Amino acid sequence: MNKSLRIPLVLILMFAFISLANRYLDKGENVSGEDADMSVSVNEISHDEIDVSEALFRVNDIDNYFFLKSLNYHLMSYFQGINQGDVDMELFESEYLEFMNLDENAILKRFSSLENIDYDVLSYERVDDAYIAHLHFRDIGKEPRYLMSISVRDGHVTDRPYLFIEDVKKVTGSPLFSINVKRKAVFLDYEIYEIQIQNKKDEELLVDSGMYGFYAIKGNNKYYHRLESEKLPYELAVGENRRMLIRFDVRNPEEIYVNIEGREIRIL
Amino acid sequence: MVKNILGILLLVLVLVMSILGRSDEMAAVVPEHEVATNEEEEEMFGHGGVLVEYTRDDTVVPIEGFEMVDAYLDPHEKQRYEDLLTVYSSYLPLCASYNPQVFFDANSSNIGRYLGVYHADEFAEINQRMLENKIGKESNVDRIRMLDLQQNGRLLNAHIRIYYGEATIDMSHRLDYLYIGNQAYLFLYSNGGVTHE
Repeated sequence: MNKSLRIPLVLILMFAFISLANRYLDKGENVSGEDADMSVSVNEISHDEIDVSEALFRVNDIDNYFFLKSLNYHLMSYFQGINQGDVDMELFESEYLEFMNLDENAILKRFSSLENIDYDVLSYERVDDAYIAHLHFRDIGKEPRYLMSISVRDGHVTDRPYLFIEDVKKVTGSPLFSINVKRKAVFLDYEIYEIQIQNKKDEELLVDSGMYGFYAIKGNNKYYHRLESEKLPYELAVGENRRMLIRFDVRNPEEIYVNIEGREIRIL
Repeated sequence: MVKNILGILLLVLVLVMSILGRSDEMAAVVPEHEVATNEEEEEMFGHGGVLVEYTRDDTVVPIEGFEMVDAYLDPHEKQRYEDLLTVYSSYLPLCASYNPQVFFDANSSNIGRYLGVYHADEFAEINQRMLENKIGKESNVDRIRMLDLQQNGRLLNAHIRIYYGEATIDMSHRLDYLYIGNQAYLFLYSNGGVTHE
């Protein structure tokens, strides 16, 4: 062989054997790198790797499809719990449950006349960081259909169009009673106020139980109330300190009044 | 002269060895979807199933026993369900991880999209079963077998077996069909670590 060919040839042979040797050594190496006994390869932390064709979903707006899938997951979970009589309370917003004093029985009671609920979503909207789904539901195969709105936020639901709770902390006092408007829960088109009334009299304190016993004012409109807490007589016993949940179908009323023993008391 | 010829032959040999090694590597990248029939399995499950092949898309996974869907879904929705199962079975092995909590936190959006799993504990159960069944990110889905399909209210509860070569895994999921606005939607949600009994 020519001496000029010898060195290049040796180098090529060395390179070839080293490459082949590396290739076969790689095949024998444990890919996981940690547990030499495992026979599958796994992912170290990978961030949103996508290796499937989203075209397979055959939808016009894939992002909206995925969003609705997530939204419906929470609606489906809610109604599955209702249908099975076994509600996962962790599905709910805890702050809302505490404010409304709701437990599993109270949630199930709302649907006590229905056996197997089906629903469809009429529409949905985003309000701040919550999604409000407006839907109708019914016993499968039966009429009538009922309407309700469900709020979904951060993986939690409420069975109303709930938005948030905020402090009010407005106290109105007299020698006979004390009224503390503590907080309010804000919903899409109404508010529920947590009102603590304490009877300081030596006898019963009479709160007007009529529609306008509590009322709200906004502009030229007057809004009657609905009692959302436990249905007790509006009369407070001696020394009683009662928590009441009072609903007005208006957002951000300008004034709120309560009629106590014939007197209109402005409490907000 | 002879020595020069030997030198040239050696060079040619090195070239051939390099090409052969490279072709092996290329062959491993191209997935092979063998459509296998297993008479013993068909007898065992009694479906008399014929593997249903679809030729419209080379990524579609054959689904045996898929005709049981006919009783519940119209042809259009059946086609959508098939697509969802293809995505589900393809994406599942990519989620194999020794750190399921961390992996879930990093990939929660896609795990929800493709597997219909929205809780880390459910994902951890599924992940554990994958590892136990020797299914990892290198696994390629060969076919799916419908084991059972039952209606529960509006939902369809399905049990399937997914074949990744020699490895298999039984999975359970819910299919939800509903209207949102005027549009019909079909969503697939995993049932966590539930297995078919």
